[in-house]
Amino acid sequence: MTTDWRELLDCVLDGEELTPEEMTALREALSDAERRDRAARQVQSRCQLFEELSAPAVDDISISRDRLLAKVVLREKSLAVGPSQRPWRRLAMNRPQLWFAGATAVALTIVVLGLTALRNRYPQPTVEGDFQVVRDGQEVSADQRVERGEQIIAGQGEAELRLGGYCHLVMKPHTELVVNGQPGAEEVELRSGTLASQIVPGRGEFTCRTPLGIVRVLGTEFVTTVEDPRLAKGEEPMERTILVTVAVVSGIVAFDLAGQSGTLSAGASQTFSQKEEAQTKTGVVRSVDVAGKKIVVMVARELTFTVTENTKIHRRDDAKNLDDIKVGANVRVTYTHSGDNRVASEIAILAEEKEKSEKLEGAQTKEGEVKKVDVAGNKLVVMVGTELTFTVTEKTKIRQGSDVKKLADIKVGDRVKVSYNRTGDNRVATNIAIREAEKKD
Amino acid sequence: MGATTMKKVANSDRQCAFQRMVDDHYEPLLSYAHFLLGHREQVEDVVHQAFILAFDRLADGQMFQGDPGKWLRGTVRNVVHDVWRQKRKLPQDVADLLQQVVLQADEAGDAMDRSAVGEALRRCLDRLAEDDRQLLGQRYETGRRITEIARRMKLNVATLRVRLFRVRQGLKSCIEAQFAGEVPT
Repeated sequence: MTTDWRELLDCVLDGEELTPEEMTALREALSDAERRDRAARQVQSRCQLFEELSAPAVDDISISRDRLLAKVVLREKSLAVGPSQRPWRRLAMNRPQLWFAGATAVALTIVVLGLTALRNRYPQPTVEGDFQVVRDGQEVSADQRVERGEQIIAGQGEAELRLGGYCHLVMKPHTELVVNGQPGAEEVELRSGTLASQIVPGRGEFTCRTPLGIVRVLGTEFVTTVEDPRLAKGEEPMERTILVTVAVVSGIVAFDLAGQSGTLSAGASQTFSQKEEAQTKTGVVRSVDVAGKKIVVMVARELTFTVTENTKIHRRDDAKNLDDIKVGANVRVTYTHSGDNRVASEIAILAEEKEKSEKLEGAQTKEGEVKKVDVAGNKLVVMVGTELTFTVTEKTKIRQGSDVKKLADIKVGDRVKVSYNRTGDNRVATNIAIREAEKKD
Repeated sequence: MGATTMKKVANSDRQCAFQRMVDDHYEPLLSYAHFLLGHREQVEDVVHQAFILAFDRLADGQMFQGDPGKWLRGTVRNVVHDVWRQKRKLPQDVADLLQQVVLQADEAGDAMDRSAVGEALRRCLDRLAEDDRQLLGQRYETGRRITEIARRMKLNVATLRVRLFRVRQGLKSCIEAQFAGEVPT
């Protein structure tokens, strides 16, 4: 044991334990104002030495920061709960109030069930707040109704997305996602940013797809963050590390991220990271911009790739240039991300591109459920795995059995078989057969 | 401007202010908490607690007068005080006295020319004996605890404490001597 209070002060700052005798010696010393001044100078000197020599307190500061930001999102959500929604307020109700609340709840349940039975319609995805909608690489007017396959980008403020009547998603500023999924199995592809998800139990599934994998829930509340490190101007697009943080507010979520799978319970948060590897996409060339060094390829949707002087373009073993690539050609593009850009490292021009592009451009038939009828705009939206919009012209033949019908005769919920010609992204209906009228109870 | 829009603008301002605060102060605060706690355990929790309190303050509509870094350091001191009390089992009065000392040290640090002290410290470190330099390296650069260093060096913990104390006091004296215009020995 030492009685030198200066040494004892160092011990405390080194995180060491003191014996009761040492504690007493330190107390006596620091109770004296003059020695406290000396102690302050000692602490100041040790702090300077620490700052000069010490290693970082955490292994990865960016991951540590990410954990903080996830906690703050949770905090923000808990602060957003108003006093009347707090559980102790509910418990504070007296018996008659509880009885009344119970009766109201039962009545509401009956009304809601009744409405559900009457309507039997699945809610269309909607978005509100500060956002823009991107369809096929083009910004479209920010309508509250969202079609599956569309990309939503939150602006400076937040955007709120509602899916299937049971998924309430809050997109933090600058968050980017794509609405996918189908009725009862809602899914979003979170590309970057932070998404707070509140899922009502027992109404359907919800999957949040991230660059590292998926988070799936049946009923819970959680926050997912995808950190997308942007490159500085002039920086070479090398491999990047993607960070995904999942923080659970309530319930349990199942994750399959970055090669790890498991569950996270309420209050838990975990960050997953993985270096992004080059990706490959195959599709039909929609446009080639030689001057702008861009190529647009139709994969499930149109993707724009940036071509650099390092991009290797070839057809089999023959080296090619960008201007050798023709619209309609079938290509396989290997690329990495650089911020929002997809930078092509290799473009392989594949054989038989003509036949494939003709198939995409030719006559096709699809069958599905009508989601929207726009008589004024001559459009028909049909769910066929994904929602497709068909243009109806005066040449379009619409029939139900042997009866000739008009576009206005088609109702949401009808099952239709549409024959159409596709030109680019435009689907022009040639024949529409109404299979089944909407059922009304 | 509608109430909803105003609320959104306020949220956005708050988020920007908070993000700026994290950008400016996260790393220095981790280092400060690490210094006060002596090792890595609980450092992140302490710093996160301070930032969440700052966020709550912004959410209440209270802005920070002057440097938010000072407020954050003060909050870290308070949270560390709680750790000293609850985890390290320091008596209340000793924890209070230590907190007072740390506050005085911070105020003295604000008044000094940090870059000049930093240069003086580096000159003093260059003059250290190799063994002493290695000892400091084990404690700070690799972040080992005193007991761990003693075990590695096959020394008694009390002996190591004294040796480390002397090296650090020597550096303190060296810096003070440089500022007093003396030739350090």
